[in-house]
Amino acid sequence: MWHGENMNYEEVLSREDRAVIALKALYEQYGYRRFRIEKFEPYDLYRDNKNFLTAETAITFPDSRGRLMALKPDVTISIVRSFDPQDISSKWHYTESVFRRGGVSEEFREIRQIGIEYLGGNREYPQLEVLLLAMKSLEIFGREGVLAVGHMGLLRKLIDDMAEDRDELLGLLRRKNAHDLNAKERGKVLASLIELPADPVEALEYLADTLRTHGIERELDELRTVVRLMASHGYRKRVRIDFSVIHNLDYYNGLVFQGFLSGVPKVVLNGGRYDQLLEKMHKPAKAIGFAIYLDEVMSILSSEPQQVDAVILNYCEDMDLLFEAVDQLTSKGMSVRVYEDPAECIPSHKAYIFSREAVLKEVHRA
Amino acid sequence: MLKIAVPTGRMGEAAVEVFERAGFDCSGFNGTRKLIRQIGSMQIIRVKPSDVAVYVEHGVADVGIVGKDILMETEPDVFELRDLGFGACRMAVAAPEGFRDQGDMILKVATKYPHVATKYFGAKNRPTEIIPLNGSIEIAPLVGLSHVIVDIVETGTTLRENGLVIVEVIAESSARFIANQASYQFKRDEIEKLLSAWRLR
Repeated sequence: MWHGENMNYEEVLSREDRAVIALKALYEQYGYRRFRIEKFEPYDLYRDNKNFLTAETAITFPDSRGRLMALKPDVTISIVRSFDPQDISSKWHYTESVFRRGGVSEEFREIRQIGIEYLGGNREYPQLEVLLLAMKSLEIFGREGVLAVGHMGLLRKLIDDMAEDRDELLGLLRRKNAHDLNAKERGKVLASLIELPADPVEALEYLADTLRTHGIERELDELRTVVRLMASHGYRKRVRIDFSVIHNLDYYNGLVFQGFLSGVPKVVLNGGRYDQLLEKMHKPAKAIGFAIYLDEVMSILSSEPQQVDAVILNYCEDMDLLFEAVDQLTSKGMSVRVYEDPAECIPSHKAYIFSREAVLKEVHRA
Repeated sequence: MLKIAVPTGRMGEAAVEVFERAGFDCSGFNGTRKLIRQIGSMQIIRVKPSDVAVYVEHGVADVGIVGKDILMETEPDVFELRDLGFGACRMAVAAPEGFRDQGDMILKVATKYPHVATKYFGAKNRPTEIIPLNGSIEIAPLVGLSHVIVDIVETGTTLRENGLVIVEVIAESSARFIANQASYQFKRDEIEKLLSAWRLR
């Protein structure tokens, strides 16, 4: 039998499990603690901030006292609710499922997320740490990663917040649609944000030059600090300045970012600074965090077929004797699969035949 | 290698011409029924026009060429990098000559673009019943299936021949160059090389 201390946990875990454990270890290393929440919470919590959620609906049901409850569509709001702004700062990591509508059918789906939230603290250090951890998180998946970084505060200075076509203009920017932006008087300055150099240092130089008159020095400085930090950690080629990264302007006010992994067609990581959510929830403080969508990453984490140390091809009809033979191997710490049909046998280090006469005999295959 | 989804049909033929003008050898391309072709370091995948954006959004193709009408209808999560100019047409509301919307009944709208139509009349607060059809939209008002239609209009010949006129223009449409969001991040050089070969800035 396998015993705890002899067990090689690595082998038992799927690649997904291993990635999740590595991510948790990374966050713990930087002082984030595990946040646990209930699967469902009062619906009021989400209704009051429903625009913060990308999907509008939650699965709701009445509890025994008739109170409307919701299967949680979001983790961030729950974490903010537990936050006391009198605290100096609080740092949480979570691995949770949220339930939202999605896909073509608009059916409810379970979306597995892992992420961190940094609440409180000052303006500079927390956001640099969170962005660095976003980049390091992408690295854990063993694929080329890119972190695209934008800035909602900068966009706010370039766009008339009250303008009727605000959301339309932002929609065009999100799609990198310069041709339609240029056709609108108010869109021209946003169009100039679309074709930035891929190198982040060059991109910031270009912005400082083109948008000199727009009073965005402070925002550019913030981006410069991020780029400097990334470059000093060897990530200059992995970070992009990209203003198609746009989160809800009513909640996000500073740096916003998205992560991509080579071979995954969709955004795998979403994050940003959302001080305005805290303000709306009457807990004025700084806040920044991100979530990784595990289901999007799954396509590159799918496990190889399960490997075993030994296979037994069984011809014996006595099950008691067969289990004795299996125990004989597992007690040596081997993993075993039993087959009745030679065609089904998977490759393994060792192969045995358990004969009709209950003799276990190792066979050596070419 | 850059994978490009190109629509079959007229817009696809125009796209192939653009490739040729940019110096890519596409000889015999429009005659063949082969759906996957290699041109230099690019792979061309030919799919139904309404499916181009699906291929790109899911990353099976890195980039694609698709009509704005289809982007408006399906609103895929992709980057729309260029207006290629060709395949120009208008998305419009058309009705039998002399029809006037009195606003006193639910307006029946036949269309291949139910999402666009719903959004357009929704923004105007006009109560409608959208009747989705897959083709020959012009026939709907003639046989009494709908009051008006929402469709793309190129020259207007089909409308005229069926006694229909444009009542309102919803939007201008033409071929657009789209890119998958992740492909844009990882294959930006190749995408930009292709665009500059086209000189469509």
